[in-house]
Amino acid sequence: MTSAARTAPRAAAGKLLLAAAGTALAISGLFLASALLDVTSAGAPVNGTSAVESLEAELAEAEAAHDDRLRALDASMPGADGERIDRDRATGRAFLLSVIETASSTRSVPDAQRLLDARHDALGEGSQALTEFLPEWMAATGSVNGAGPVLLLSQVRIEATEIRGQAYSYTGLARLDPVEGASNDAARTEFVVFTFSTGQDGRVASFEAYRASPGTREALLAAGPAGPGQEADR
Amino acid sequence: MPAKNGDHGADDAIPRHRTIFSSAGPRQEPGPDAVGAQAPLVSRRTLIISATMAAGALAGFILSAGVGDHAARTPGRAERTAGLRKRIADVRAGTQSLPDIEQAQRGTVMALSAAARVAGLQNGFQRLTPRIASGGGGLPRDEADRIRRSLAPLFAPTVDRATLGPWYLLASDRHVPAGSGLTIGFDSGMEWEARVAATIGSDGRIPVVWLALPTHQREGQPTILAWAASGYDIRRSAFSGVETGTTVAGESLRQAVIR
Repeated sequence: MTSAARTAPRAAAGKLLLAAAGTALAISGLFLASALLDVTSAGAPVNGTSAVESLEAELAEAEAAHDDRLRALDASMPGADGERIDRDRATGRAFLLSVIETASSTRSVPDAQRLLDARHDALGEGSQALTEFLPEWMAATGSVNGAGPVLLLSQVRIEATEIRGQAYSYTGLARLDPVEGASNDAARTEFVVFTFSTGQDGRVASFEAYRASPGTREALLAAGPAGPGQEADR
Repeated sequence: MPAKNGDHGADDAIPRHRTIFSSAGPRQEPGPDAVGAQAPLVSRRTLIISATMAAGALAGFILSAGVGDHAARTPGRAERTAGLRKRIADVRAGTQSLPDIEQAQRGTVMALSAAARVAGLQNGFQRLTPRIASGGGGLPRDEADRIRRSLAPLFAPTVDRATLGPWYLLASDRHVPAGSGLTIGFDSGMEWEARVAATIGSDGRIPVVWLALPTHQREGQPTILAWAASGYDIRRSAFSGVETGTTVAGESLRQAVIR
């Protein structure tokens, strides 16, 4: 065999080895580039600040500008005290929660009525919240058969509906969801429409609540968390 | 006779270091073609370059696996940035759509008037209750359409058809005499009332609530039979996004309507 004939396979083997190693290197380069692209497009640190942090700051800025405009508008509306409305909303939410919590944690309607009557001046004699809502709510949620389900206030929208001097009236719609993993299988989402008014001292002067009908409950659930065209309470 | 290790005969120039690519099998005594037979299959230079590239490839794979693992540890980051961008756009659009002060004050008056008009027209459906009850729940088309046509301009075109129908009718109204045929002459057991406090919602609309209340009730203790909530869009001079509902008590007293 000639020398040229012997060196040809060696040259081919060398080329083959180089090609294989080169291909492996190229593929690994592609893998690395792809992985890096995924990370940077997902907001990996860029110039020391993550894209997410930057966007969050931008969102906070946009929300602050929005709130400023709203405050200016609120202040321009005759007769409405925006800050008081915000305070009253919180008071109304707390009042509703007190009623719901008492209904869930008390085993008998008379006991729940007694507790709430003693606790809240606004639930006086003849209060429908005590005489109609409470028994109906406790029967519907199973509270009268033992410890009721724990329902958490997941969403509430409260609108000021009447302002007469220092007397403010509100109407709200609350969504209450059962606690995840609740032992009571019958627990389900409920909606409560409620009205309340506050006096100059900021205390609740009157309060009524009504459970939404099953048909309305289904419609509200289907419409989504905030309802059609509505938005969550500020 | 097999050569001993290191015994390469006359050819001392042949590298003693052999690779896996060198020829296999029992060693032969060097002959005339010993150079070609004993030389490694690939040169040292090729071997070094290949090894370097292989090492680079290995490092690349390890690195990409590490980066991929990092990406996997932050799932949903792309979705989060997309969500944040959308929220920013929504908030800015909401700010842009807010009315100015003059528009808001003028809009309040318009909202009060429009809300009262809607309540009046919804009350107009009540006198149809006897005919609806006797007709198995069907709405008298002509009269219902007349009320719908009056309601339509008060709502944004995006509201559904049910919004322009009766929101709630009281079943006991079926026994009420028709009277003169006018709403005012019909002694309904319930009435829609509009409640507007002239405030601006966070979306720039004026919140409005309508309540269906029994007309014969104890003082200061209304029982809400049904409700509707919406917002008056000042720029469009119309209500949009209407939500209606009935209470448990209201449902038990309701006149069913086939829509």
